[in-house]
Amino acid sequence: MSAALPLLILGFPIVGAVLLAGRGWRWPRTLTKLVGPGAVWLSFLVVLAAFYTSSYGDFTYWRWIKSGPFDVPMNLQLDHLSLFMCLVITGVGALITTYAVGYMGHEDDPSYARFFCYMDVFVFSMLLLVLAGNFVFLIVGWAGVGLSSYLLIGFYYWRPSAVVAARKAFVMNVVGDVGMILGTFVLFFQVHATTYSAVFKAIPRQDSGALELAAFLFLVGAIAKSAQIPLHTWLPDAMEGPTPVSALIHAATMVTAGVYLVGRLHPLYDVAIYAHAAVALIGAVSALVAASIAIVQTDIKRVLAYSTMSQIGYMFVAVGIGAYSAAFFHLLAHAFFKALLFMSAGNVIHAMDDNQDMRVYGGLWRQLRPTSISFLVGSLALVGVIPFVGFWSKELILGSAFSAGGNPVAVYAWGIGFLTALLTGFYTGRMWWLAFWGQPSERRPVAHPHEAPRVMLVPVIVLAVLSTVGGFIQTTALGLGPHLVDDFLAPAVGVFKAENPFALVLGITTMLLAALLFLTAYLFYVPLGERVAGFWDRLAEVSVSHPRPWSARFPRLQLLLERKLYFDELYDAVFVRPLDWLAVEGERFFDVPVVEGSLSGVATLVQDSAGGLSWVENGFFRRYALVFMGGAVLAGLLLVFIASRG
Amino acid sequence: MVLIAAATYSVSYSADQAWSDLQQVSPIAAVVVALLVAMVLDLVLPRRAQGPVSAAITVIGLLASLVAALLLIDRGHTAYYQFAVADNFAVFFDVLFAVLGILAVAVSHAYLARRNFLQAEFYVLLLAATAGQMVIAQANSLVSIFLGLELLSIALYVMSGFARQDFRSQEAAVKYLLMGGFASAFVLYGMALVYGATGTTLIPAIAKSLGPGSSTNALLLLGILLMGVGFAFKVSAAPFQMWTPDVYEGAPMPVTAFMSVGTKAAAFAMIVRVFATGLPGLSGEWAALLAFVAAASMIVGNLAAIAQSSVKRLLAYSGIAQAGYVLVGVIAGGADGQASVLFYLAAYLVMNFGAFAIMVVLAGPDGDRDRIGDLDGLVYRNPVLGVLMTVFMLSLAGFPPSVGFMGKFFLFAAGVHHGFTWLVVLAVLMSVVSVYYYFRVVIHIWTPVEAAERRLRLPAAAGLAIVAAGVLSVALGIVPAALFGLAQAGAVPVAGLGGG
Repeated sequence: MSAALPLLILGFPIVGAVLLAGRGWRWPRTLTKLVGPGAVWLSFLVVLAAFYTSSYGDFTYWRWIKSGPFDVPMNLQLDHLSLFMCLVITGVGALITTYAVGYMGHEDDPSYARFFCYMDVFVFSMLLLVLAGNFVFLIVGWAGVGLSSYLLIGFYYWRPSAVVAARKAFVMNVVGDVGMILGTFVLFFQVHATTYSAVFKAIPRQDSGALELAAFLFLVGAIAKSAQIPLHTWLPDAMEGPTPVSALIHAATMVTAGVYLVGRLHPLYDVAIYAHAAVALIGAVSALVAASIAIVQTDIKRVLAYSTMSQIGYMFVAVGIGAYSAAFFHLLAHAFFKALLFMSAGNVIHAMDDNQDMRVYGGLWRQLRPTSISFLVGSLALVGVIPFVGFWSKELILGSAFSAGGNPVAVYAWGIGFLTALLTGFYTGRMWWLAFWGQPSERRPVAHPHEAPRVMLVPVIVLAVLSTVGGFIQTTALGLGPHLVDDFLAPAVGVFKAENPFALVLGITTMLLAALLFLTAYLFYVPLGERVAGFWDRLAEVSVSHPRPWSARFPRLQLLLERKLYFDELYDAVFVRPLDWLAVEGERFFDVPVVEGSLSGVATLVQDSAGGLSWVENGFFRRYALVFMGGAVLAGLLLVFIASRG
Repeated sequence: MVLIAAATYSVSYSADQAWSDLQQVSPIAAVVVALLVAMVLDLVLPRRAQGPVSAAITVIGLLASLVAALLLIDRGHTAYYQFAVADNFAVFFDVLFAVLGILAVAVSHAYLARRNFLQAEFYVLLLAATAGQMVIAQANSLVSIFLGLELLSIALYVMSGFARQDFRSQEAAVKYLLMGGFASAFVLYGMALVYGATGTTLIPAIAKSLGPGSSTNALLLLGILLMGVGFAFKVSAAPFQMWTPDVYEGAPMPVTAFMSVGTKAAAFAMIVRVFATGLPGLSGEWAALLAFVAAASMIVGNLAAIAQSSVKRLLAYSGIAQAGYVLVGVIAGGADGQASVLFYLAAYLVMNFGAFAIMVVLAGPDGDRDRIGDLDGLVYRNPVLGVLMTVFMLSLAGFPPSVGFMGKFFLFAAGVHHGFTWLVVLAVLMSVVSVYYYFRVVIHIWTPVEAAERRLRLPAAAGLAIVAAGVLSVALGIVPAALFGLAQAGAVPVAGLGGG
């Protein structure tokens, strides 16, 4: 019975996708609305059933390939970690696909079904990624989410920018895929096994050099998928996709696959200490860089994209120092509040006639109250204000890093993470005050916006509630209270032991500083005349009436950040242009004369022999016989050569 | 003929022996009986009834043959003084050919009616060709192999020219006859030389007669050369492939579909039987010869396919390339190499026949429509055909999880395992090239067309055959173990095959 559960979990989304692909474009829309999200909901119910019945196991269904030592069974592994991921994927996925019923409402019919088809494909691939019990199917799922991400970023395929963004995401992800595949090769070469259980069992007996190599190769896959430095440049561009896609794929689930990967392969990373340290460092640097770039972005979705990159950086720090359950707790929390932020932002974008520039919003608090409250909840969770879920998970990571004695990387990571927390407060505040506070901007596209329909509001409110109270399942960040996530994941990833006597002080201090920066942004981004009279006015009079934008003082820094530290330009100069040059020159000196020449030569030859195909007695048979004889003579010479040698 | 040969050996040929021998060749016997019945009924029945009746008899005969073959699994032995054998290798091919015949009847029936061809004759020839293929599969002597080869070839020469009003068909038949005769002469001469060197035509006896000095025996080497060239012609491997595109293009589409799989599979049965079983001591020599042919086929087939505008010719060149891939398994040798060859031939049956079957359905009353542009918007004219053609192309290109991927995987794994890495590298590179032209077909299938284009009707029998091929193309890629188990059971047990 329990062996059927993983199949059912995977089955509903893929059946939904096939139905939508085959018939969806001729269906009445109601059916699409039912099937698209319905498949994910059903999958979610099965996951819940598995959760309540504790149906864990490593189920082998059949043997896919067996050739010598290369043995790939079709097995799915439902353990605490994959079930945890399935809960996040299907739970948040169900809410987001439901939201999309409203958000995508003004699409034309075939596109409407196409959207849900891709979404179901994505959910299937993501579930396969986490349920796979061996490296081969992990890669299948890994490539599958890459493909669906590509399809969904390029969903508006008539917009050149969307197509370019989709391509960029795909290319970056393929770099990662290559890492994954090579990593699998290395492991297979070492231990001759493809299943997790067999590989992990063999790891203690292996040469550490090979393990480091494999771990670094998998890390390449992880950073490409999770948009960490230096393979992060695709994520902000991926915001070209519809907003539910950004919420589900580029915030809640797919981009956290790298975190899952390191967690899943923890027996490898626990041994490969250099690669493990690299995970933490890359995470910390990505967190800081992304947070600083987020400060100058003007597109609301891009701010959220950089914020996602930054928060995943925290998760990388956590898995990098071995605090796996803290990472997955933050993954859960982030799924809640970032999906919430994206979907609230989606409501705003919907109301603003698809304009995403938050400088032209302003004053939405009074007009879009439910959405504004939801966005505020999400923002506070992102900044890490008590009691919202982000506080508990982020402080747990920072506390773990701070107290991981004897691990120098962890201390650096903590320092960078702490700085990032402050920047997070500031850019979140900037986003909130600019978009929702003050007076409506004169350039605002819609003067009297309408609140989103109920189908879009209800999922947002559910997530807002979860973001508010979800943190109470684990309050160990303050050194007390329940620790349900730790307990749940302990069988899969073990327990991170680090006593932190300063947890309470540290957590509260970080939170207060971040919150203070959130409020400071008010002074910068809400013009004096538009401020609400009262306390803040008085505070403002005391300090500075209207501070000059910080960017005016550091124009070079601002430019650096606005250009996203010139990563795109760097890649353009290092990879794109030389390759372009190579392609152009190659075409001129190799492709046209050699390849095309020989091809058209072959083509002419073939067409010659086909074109004059009218009489038998026109010499063609002669030519065939000649070639035949020539071949026979050649083969004979070869045989003589072989015989004389042997 | 076999009986006469047997009679000269011994006068005491008992009835029990005759019955036992007949059981061993019962798959062939069933086909031959059906052939005779169909031929006689063709003379008696009114013209209108001929088509359906002979189709029914053909299918019944082939089904009987299929059942007879399945009953022989693990129970066969040699018969007719070792001229025939029903080992699992032979049975595997018997099953393959029976299935191919049934599929061919299914897709031809509506086609023959539409083009107003003589139906009964077609089925009789189809049965004759199938009988020839099965004789090759069950042959255990050079003589019986040649007998089967000619039975198959002569039936195919006639079938290629079956469209009597069509110039191209006539030309294909004559060209095929001339070139085929040429190749048959090579094979026969080669066999004669091997007989001269070893003093026997029985394949196991040939293997036994080889000694340490065999590899310098000029007669044997020349025999290998001449037979190898002839076999390479039959599998349409380069540089002996020149006939393939012309004959495929000229022959009526169902004939092309039938022979693209049938000749190739029969020829591979012949190669493995003669070379791997009969000349294991000379594996270095024939493997080198076949490696040259394999490399040439993969290069010529894949590069020439790029330039084609006719689907028949494209698939012809693709078939040349595919022959090169299968040769990798033959060269690798060993149980795994042979199993991979059998697996791939079964895979090739479903995917290649499926692709040709769809082209059969596309044909109009005036002739075949095989321009690549004729496939434009197929998926909108008939979604089932469009999707399945895509599946067949992906499978031929070797995309997972199709059966073509698994087949290539097994072939190449065997190649690497037995030390032919350079050949496998070439094969993989050339497979990448092949993606280009297979995808060109896919692009045409999915190109939107004017709404005015009318929907394509699918005859029931053909539809069933195509869908079955399509389902198998995917299912056998996801659960390959079932077929691979059969293929492993079918591998001829020969020790010390192949290179390092």
